[in-house]
Amino acid sequence: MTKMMVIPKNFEMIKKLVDKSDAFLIGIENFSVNLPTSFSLEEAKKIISFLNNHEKEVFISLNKNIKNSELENLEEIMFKLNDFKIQGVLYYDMAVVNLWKKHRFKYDLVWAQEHFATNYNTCNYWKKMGINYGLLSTEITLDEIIEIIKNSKMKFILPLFGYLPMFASFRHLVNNYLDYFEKEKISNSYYMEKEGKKYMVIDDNHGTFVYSSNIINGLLESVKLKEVGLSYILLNSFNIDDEKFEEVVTMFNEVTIENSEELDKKIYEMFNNVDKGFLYTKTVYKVKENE
Amino acid sequence: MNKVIKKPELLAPAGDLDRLKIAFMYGADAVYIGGPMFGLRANTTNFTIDEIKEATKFAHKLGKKVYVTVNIILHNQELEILESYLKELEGANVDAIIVSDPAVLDAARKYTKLEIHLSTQQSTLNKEAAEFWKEQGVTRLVMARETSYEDLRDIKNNVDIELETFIHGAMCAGVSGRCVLSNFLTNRDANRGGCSQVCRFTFDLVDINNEKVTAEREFTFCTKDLIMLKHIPKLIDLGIAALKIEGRMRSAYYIATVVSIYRKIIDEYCNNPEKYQYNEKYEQILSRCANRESIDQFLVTDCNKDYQYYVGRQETSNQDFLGVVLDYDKKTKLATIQQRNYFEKGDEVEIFGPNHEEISLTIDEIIDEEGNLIDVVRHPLQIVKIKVNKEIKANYFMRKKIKEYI
Repeated sequence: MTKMMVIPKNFEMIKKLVDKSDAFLIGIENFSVNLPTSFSLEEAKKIISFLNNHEKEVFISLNKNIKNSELENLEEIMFKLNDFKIQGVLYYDMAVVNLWKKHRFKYDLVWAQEHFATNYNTCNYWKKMGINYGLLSTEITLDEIIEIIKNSKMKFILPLFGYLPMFASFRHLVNNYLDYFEKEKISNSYYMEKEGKKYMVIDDNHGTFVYSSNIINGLLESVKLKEVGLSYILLNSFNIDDEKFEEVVTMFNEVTIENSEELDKKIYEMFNNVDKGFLYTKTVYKVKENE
Repeated sequence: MNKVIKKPELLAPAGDLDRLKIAFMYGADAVYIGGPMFGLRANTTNFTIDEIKEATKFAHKLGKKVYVTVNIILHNQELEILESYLKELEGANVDAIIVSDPAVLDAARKYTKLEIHLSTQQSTLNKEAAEFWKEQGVTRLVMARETSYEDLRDIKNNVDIELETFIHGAMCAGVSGRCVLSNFLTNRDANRGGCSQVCRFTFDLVDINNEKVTAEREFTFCTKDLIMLKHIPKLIDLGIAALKIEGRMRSAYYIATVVSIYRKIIDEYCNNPEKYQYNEKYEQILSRCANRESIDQFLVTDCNKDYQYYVGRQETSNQDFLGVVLDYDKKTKLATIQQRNYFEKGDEVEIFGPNHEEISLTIDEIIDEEGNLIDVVRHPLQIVKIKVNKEIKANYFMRKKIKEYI
């Protein structure tokens, strides 16, 4: 049975959507990237308790690249999380896996090297290590996704609605540019524009992060993916109007084979920058062969 | 008492057999190359299996090593041929493969005895991650480009694994592996070798009020290149196993110049660390050879505005490189030179070769292929002879004399 997982903007949104989602993915400050917000451990504790009371699953993202100087804090957080009732911790950096193995923490891990989950053998590599969940790449086609699901015993999480992460840097690329040309920085959020497309760029304490110009909408495809055994559909509220996001979550809950086309079309009407991402688009890498 | 110092491996890129031979000739201890598939430079010349065999044979005779990049992130369709490909590499006697995707690591362990180096694509930055990969059978870590000196020291002091670090060449603006701008903007898969270098594109920067930020130059992620000349002794003291030069797509001249300079520094420091002195001229030679400004990067700083490069794609082409020596006649003292950039009678030039020697001279006579005396050499690949009193050899390079030292 496929579950719904939501990335919320805040506690208020969690409360609003608690009946519409089976699971929530939240970040912990200083250790999570590519999320609309991150919480202190104290705040997270309250959220987890609230979600536990509603019998909802909780996933925590510790998905940043980690420097040696951050290891002590990371270990402390991982210990504290072990006292909470959570399903899994998302990781990008292997420090998380190593600490998890050393201390035999009771929660599961979620392999979340976002652009790397592109074949089933790699998924099986992590599964053999005892890692039960994987966040699938959004740069592969629907057929490839289905093939991975069919050839691995991992429980997969797939982003099917929201802006997608395209770039992460330790550098403060917006700050640097504004500093260089002596311009004032008015917020952490800017847009990069090229050929009529706007890409959100965030320059914060962690560095610079860029997101897709379009929102991926995999509502139609979610029906097929449920059939083949996708474990979690991930819906991300980042940079999406709250009310519209709530409506989208409802639509993903209500979608059936019969109404899927109609609801999918409705999402296109709600947003003027929606597409199917790479679900039907193969990327190329040997340019000459594809000319 | 003299310090006991272990020389690190100087690791150079090689786009083909000719450049591989140049890299070795000019002092590289090992080279890394792309094979016929699964390397992160899909759109350049790469080695066939037969060429890899030739490369390893050539290298091993010299007591040197060849590593092959198998560092793409695989898609399902590529899994089928992975096993046979790795076996072919093993059969070609490569000294190690450089991998990013654990699927490759797993297959290499299962089907071959290939030594495994972990690519910088996995962005290893800390000792826990280093320990993890060591337990997975990795023998060497190519560190993330964002690794600081303190990070390197901490890993080196806590995990018994070889560390390799970039010392020279182009930098990614983003965390390796976490950038798929190329996929989204040009449909070319960055993690499978199709990177279209979107980080060097220019963009309008617009604030949250939809106001365009107007500045002299458009917004870009483009960063300056890496140069670590000043930090080599520090890295050697730390016990870094391999110092890596970036640039499998670079020219033979570039490879020869960069490799020979780092070779000199490593040897000068290791041979006499107490008396070692930094030589500014090396920096000038390298800066003239590069087509973008270079600077040290995350080893020592967090990379502020001074580490960015705001002139977009208008990189300067290098015109210092004047020609390649094809032959030298000891009797007549005439060197046969193949032209790469315009030069003329009266020019002050330097000819350099692999054994640290450098010959300065003024061109006083140029003879063309028909035996005529000429004043200028303006045609690409034109073959001429010039008088060089000191003996030189084929594959030496001729460049403009660096003005500051005239």
